[in-house]
Amino acid sequence: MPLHEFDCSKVIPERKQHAVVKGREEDLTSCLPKGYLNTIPGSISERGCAYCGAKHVIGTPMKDVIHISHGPVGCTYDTWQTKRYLSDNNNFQLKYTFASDVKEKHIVFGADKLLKSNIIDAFKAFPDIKRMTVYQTCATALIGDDIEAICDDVMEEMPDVDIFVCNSPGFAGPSQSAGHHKINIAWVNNKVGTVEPEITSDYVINYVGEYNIQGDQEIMQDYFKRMGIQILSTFTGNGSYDDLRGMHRAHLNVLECARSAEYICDELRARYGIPRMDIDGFGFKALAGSLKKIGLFFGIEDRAQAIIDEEVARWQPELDWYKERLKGKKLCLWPGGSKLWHWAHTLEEDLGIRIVSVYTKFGHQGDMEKGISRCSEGALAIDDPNELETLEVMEKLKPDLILTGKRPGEVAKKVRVPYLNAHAYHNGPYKGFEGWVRFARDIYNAIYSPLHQLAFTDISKDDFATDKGFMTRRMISDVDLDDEVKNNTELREYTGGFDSVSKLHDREYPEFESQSAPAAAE
Amino acid sequence: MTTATETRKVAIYGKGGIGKSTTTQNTAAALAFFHDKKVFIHGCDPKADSTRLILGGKPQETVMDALRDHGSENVTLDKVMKTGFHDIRCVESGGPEPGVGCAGRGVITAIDLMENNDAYTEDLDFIFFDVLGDVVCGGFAMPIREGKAQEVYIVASGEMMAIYAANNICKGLVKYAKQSGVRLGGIICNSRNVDGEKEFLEEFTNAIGTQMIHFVPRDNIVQKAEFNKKTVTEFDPEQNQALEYKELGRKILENKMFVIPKPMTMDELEAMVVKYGILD
Repeated sequence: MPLHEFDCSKVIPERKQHAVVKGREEDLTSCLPKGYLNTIPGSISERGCAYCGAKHVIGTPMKDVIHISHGPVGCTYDTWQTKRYLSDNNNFQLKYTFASDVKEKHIVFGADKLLKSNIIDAFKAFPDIKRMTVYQTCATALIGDDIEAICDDVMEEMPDVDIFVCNSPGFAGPSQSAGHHKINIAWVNNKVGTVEPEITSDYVINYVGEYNIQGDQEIMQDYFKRMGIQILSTFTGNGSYDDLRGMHRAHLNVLECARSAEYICDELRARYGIPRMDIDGFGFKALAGSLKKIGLFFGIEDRAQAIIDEEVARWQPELDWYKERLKGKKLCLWPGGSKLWHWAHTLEEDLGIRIVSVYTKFGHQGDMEKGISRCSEGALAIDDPNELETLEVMEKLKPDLILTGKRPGEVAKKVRVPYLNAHAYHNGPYKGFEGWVRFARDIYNAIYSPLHQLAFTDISKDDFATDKGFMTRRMISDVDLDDEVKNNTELREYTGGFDSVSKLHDREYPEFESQSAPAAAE
Repeated sequence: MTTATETRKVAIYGKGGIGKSTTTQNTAAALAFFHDKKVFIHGCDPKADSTRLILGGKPQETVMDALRDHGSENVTLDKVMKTGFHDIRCVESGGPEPGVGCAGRGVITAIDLMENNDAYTEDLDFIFFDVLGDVVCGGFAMPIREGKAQEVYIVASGEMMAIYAANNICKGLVKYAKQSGVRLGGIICNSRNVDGEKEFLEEFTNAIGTQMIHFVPRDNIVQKAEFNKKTVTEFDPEQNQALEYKELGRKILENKMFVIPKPMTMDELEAMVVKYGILD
């Protein structure tokens, strides 16, 4: 077993089971770390709680909903606005957050009346919003407030509103992943099937496990529309509450983040017979393969191919410009869950970047299986790492870049390793062909920023030249580049604008003739 | 035995309905009246019925009511502390109505608030915490945590369920005994006139390593005094029952037997219950 023991974790012997090095010709039976267990005492985990997993990751991207946390105000604040899931509802769900602000006296006497008056106040303050999700927190779970009964009461008094209750207190599992599970199941149990959607195409999908980070959803939606596919709902990025109540009428669930949303796909398959198809929206090859797979399922492969041809022709020269300058760079891929496997092989395939370490904060064994099988030999795979371990990795492996969340990312900066935000992105969206070029551009900008050289100079101690030192990224990245590449006129830097999403709003989509006229009456 | 200058902090536990509040108040009244002691009663039951006989039925704003209505920074002693028979000071924690909120958290909050307000002054001889039936959660264990109460008396009778409850309370007590120093001072038998009651309780208290500190006989004068919103001592100090509480007070004053109990297993307890034929 190629287990890896960190020097800093020798005092926690159990940690040894949670890190492996992928050796030569090794398969998953010999190089799979333990995963998704309770955090080992003494190891300061980077994990979140089950409430955060339900609310911050899955619940709040829904765009036409008042998201209210029933608990102390900190729960709401700490799960607000740090993940850029935009929406075409003027970002309502991102701009506003709500809490019942439970205090000591509410704990003792019950916070049910408080919640009810808060719900009514919130609806009155935003009269255009008629949908709400109430998130239980640790405190109100312990005192047993009957949130469902309160919401039923309100719905009786205000017949035009609909409320979804998410009972996923922070302590409900080993990490945020437990919250993903709980809200998936609660939604399918309580809301799916309560609205009958209008079917307008022969090809109808739910786009599941997509959270519209900086516009990802709109990018993918554009491809689906160009293929003549109707997107019944998106779970949950840029998703509408009532659209998501009609998920049961889709012909196919197209699943992006299996870690956070495979549960609802599996339930929809069991209850409504809707098949599940796992796709990758990231990376040229992976995305092209995914679009073709969807095309194949519906018998419209040609439509997928047309999109791929057009997009690749437009963006490949720009991707390759970056590839020439990023080849061989070493990268630690340290996301929360699914990007472990979404990005491991695509970064290698499309950009020639070498993944030297993968980790997952809350991934299950299946995520590690996929991630390890998709990264190359010698990569260090870590489950539920702690901060000291990641510092040790950065010291030993000397990566050129870390892709991770903002907290470990700030730690990386302190040891002068550049980082990009794998959860909320830097200058996304990163999905789609253009998005992948934007990602390459961000990686390039991060690795070759002159800032890092400057940062290595201690101006309080070191001698340094005051008459030179001005550098650009190109001056740094092109030093060892062949003239042939340097002077290649085919290749070019990213030419898309600052905003790659808004231009899609004006696009006109082709009308495809229906194959089966009465399909809508299904 | 504690010196005269130290306040003895006493928690009274026991099965619901066994007569904890009646026993606490009558004992407190006896300590004040016959033994001239300064006594404080802190009722820790959300029902807030631990001080009625001392205050002559006067309604008392509870600490939790004050917290809810005025906010924690505005909870002051003059709002929540009342003085009754023989200068016995009384506070009720209060709490939510049944079925909502967290009464246990209420107990913790109320004791914290009283400490912050210096309610338990040094001139007191006794503080009694009168606690809800069983140690159902951390909140109701609060009086025996962190040394808030140093000695515990459990009110019981010869009835099976009362013994079960007493044994359970001992389990809770053992948990905190080491860290907080709390000890069991004995079991007070509040008689229900069941057969072999005294013997049963004596065998039980021996088995768990404590004493039956006093056998309080059943006497309707207690109920009569209660109808008059008084303790027996206040109602008629000449009554034999008043002298029984005087005697209980004396035994508590002179008590030297403070132990960490050894609770029985369910099997042992069942066997003892069968022996006394109370299951018949």
